[in-house]
Amino acid sequence: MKIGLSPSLVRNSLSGHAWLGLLTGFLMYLICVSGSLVVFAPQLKRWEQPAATEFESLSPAAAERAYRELLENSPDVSGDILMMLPREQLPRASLVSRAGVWALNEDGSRGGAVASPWTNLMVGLHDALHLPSNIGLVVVSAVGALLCGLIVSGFLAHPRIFRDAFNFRLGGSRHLEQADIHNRLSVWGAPFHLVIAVTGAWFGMATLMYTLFGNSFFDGDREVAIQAIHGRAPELEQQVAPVDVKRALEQMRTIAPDARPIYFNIEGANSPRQYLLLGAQHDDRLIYVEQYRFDQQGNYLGNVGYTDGEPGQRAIFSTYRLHFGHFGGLPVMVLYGIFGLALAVVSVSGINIWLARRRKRDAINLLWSGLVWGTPLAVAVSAATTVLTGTAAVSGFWMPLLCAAGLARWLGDEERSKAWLQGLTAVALAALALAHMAVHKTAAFAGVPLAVNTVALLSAVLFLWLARRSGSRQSRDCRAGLALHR
Amino acid sequence: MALLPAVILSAAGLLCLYGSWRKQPLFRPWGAWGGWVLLFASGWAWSLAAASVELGIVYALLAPTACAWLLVLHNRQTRSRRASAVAEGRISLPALPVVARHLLLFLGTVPLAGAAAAYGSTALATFLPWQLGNALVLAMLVMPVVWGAGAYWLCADPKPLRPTLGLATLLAFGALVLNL
Repeated sequence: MKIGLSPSLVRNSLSGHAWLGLLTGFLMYLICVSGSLVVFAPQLKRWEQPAATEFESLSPAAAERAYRELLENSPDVSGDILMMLPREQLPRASLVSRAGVWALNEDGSRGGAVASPWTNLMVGLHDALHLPSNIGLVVVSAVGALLCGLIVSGFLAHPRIFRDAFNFRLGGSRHLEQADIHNRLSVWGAPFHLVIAVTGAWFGMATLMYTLFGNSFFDGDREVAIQAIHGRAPELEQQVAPVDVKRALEQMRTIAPDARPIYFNIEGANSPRQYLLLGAQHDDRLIYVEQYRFDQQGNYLGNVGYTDGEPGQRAIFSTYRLHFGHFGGLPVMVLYGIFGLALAVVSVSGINIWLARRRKRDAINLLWSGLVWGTPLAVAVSAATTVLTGTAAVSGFWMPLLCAAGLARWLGDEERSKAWLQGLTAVALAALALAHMAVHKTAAFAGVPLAVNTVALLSAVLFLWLARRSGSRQSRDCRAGLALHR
Repeated sequence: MALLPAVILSAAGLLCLYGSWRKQPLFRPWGAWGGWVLLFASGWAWSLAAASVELGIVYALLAPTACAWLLVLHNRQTRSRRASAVAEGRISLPALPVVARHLLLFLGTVPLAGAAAAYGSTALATFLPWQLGNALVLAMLVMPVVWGAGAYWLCADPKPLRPTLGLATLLAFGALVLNL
């Protein structure tokens, strides 16, 4: 199958594709690598605090107890009081309010602090590239939008993309090899890439778009624009009293017996307008949750309408699970992790093609090799540092990455720096798993923490193999280079 | 059990495309369209397997990707690496006009195309005979695609003035419709 495209369109599309790819390539790579990890954020949070209490569900009485205890200690607490309930991938409960954040025990009493600094570091990289969030979110969204442009230009730039859809030539010339990797991964991954691009762009653009909607349709009121899509908050005027959390939660068994409550939020706590908003997951839907509202006496006020309301509401509330693969359990998460890494490979191979086509080698080749292979190293080093120190700093990721680029420049050979960085990543990953086991002792040897440590050790073996392969390739290239020189 | 027919349909669809695009005689007359039909039909089977139409559609989109990559991997040809003589050089700074051209392209592909997409998609969505909330959601989801397409047009058109004017017109039209 060959698409009938004029040669000039193909040529121009290829040049546009290259320009957009160069503009976004490295940022996209960072976003994809961190995104593939963030897919497993629930598991990583469990790994970071392996000794935290885990349980299947929190009873309404226990939830009521945790809430009452908060009110006793901080009677004037205002804003939102969010209680995350145990769910399949993260069977832990926590309480988040302006007065503090606590893990909860099964009986509703307070446990220790909630801390997942490294997972948050990766989330920060994925969401906003560690930039101030108002800038970073927009930059990441722009990369998502430009990915849409790359998908369109990619198809228009390759008239043989379907005919060659199953060809995969490894070895030979570097240009052809990288082109095959790039094209095979991107043509078949295109539906996934488009979904990720559109939903990803939405996260950062939503704020700007709501402002535009507010200015255009709702007399400059952004909040009303949000309500037009997400539903209006109930208009309540009550004599302030503690919310009957227990009664509200108990009613869920009759209101939506098949739905699984995963959180509730007391909105406008301690104000006459306070109400309880309960989020419950529906297994047959892509929406993050349906939200059920209760007044402070625990009377049911109705659902927001994500399950049975307007299609637009359903679509917009499906973006989160669709973007992160949080539907269909662990198999879909693993698939999303692989697909995300594949998009990272697409980003890198695109730039590799551009480098190969230049027919010259300079510091850009070296720095690129350092940044690409320095990223997994920086991920592993930042994780190991966090495990050992208990805190995660942005510099813990960026310093190793810059050092890796510097090392590659100093070594002066791409294959050699690749081998070095892959070897160092293997060491860092092994050190990470061992450090986790040493710090958390028996808690590191069961369930999800054990699985994460095993994956880290297996990844270390993989990187060691890659390092050996790159090393032998470098020796071969050296010999071939000498032969050519002679 | 409902999972099996869905997997079989996705895999069979892919195999038909594989046979047709690899020019295997058995698949030549009907392989391509047969493959697409089977892949579309797999959406129905996945919906039954997941007991949900929306989840079924997503699975039907994800499954062929995974199957195709397995076929691509199966079909790989490994050849010995060819070391090509590449000239070593120093980084050469581009001339000022080249930098200016890239800067203008950046301004066109990022702020101009982004603003045009936001205003244009919102304005066009309001012409739909839908409830306002639904139209606004469509605008939000279409906006990145319009932005990406605009950015591509700007980079690919040999006459950059054409897409610049096109995007500026879309922005002006959107602003006019939304502020009238």
